[in-house]
Order: sequence, then structure tokens, then C-alpha cells
Amino acid sequence: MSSNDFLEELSPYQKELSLRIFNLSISKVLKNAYASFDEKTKEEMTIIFNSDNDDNKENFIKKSIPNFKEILEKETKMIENNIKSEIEKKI
Amino acid sequence: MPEQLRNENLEAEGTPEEQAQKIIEDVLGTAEIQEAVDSIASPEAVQKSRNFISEKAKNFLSVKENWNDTKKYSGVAAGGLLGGVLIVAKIAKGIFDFAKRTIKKKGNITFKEGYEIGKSILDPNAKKDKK
Repeated sequence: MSSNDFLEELSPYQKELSLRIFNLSISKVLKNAYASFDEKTKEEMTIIFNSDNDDNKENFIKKSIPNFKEILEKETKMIENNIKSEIEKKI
Repeated sequence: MPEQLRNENLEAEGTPEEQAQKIIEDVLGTAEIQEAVDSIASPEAVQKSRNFISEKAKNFLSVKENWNDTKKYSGVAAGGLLGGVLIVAKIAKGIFDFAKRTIKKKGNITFKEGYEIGKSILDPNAKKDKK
């Protein structure tokens, strides 16, 4: 199944759910990344994300969090496990 | 009639999809409140970068035409963001399916367990027979 087919099959609620879980994961990824940056990189990040240049923002993430996708997946899986165990407790 | 009662209870609680949605809302809502509290203390750069990435993901997911707009999203895709959105969407769907499956399974188990318990209370040899 292609990515488009997969996205096509998601219900509006599942898309909303994806985005909410994505937001939780991304917060963790960015907090951890920021904590690991040196002072110079932290300053650079502040300047870039206070500007209107989207290309610079994308390039900063690409450069400063090179394994972004893998870290995001790891964080999301941790959230997934927590949600699943809470669901099991509740049902 | 336990089967009829069970069906009536399930109807009152909604379809497995509705029940799954309800239980996910409970669990996710709590996590989101916690995250919102933590975010207040986060540096501005973290909050702004989160909003930036979140907005990109939202735009990407909400407009079907975006899924093929590789030019518009090439920078984001290069940073692994779009791949990340797809991974999360797959996991989110997995969570939804898990909740739905667990609700269905638990319903059946409850009925079966209830039946087994009732049977063993009425018939002390029932467990031995099973072994």
C-alpha cells in the first residue's frame, strides 16, 4: 500500500489522532534535542525560529537533528506503549 | 439471557469505534494536559519550532493535494518530517485498532469468563473436566 493510499484510508478522527500524537512526540524530540545543544546552537535556534524564513527553519532541523525520523519514531513508540497500557487498564 | 443483555450493553455504550475513540480521548487528553503544563516551562525556541513543525504536519495531512506536492514539501521531506508524519499516522492507526480490538475482545472474554465462572460455581466438576 502506498503512502497516499494509506492516508486516503484514514478517517478524519484518525488523522486528527495522528496529529495529536505527532505533537506529543515532536515536543519530546525538540525538548531533548534542545537540552543536548551547546549554547551557540541554542542561540542560533532562537534566532532562526524567531524569523520568517521557513527554509532556514527546515535546514536547522535537518542539520541539528540529523536522525530526526528515527528519534521521532522511538518517542512515538514510547507514547504508543503508554497509551496501550492505559487502554488495557481502563477496559 | 446474558447474550441479549450483553448486546444491549454494547449498544448503550456505542459501537466499538465510538468506544475506542472515547477511551483514547481519556488517555490522550491526560497526556496532552501534562504536555501543556510542561511546555509552559519550555524555552521559546522549543515552542516555536514545535509550532512550526506541527503546522507543517497539519497542512500536509489535511490537504490531499499536498501528498503529491513534492516541490512544496521537498525541504520538509528532506528533513525527515513527512516521513515522520507517516510513521506517526501508522502508529496512531495502530493505537485506534488496538483499542477497538481490545474492546471487542474484552467483551467476548467477559461474557465467556462470566459463563465459565458461573458454570464452575454451579458445577464443581466443570474445571476438572476442562483439565
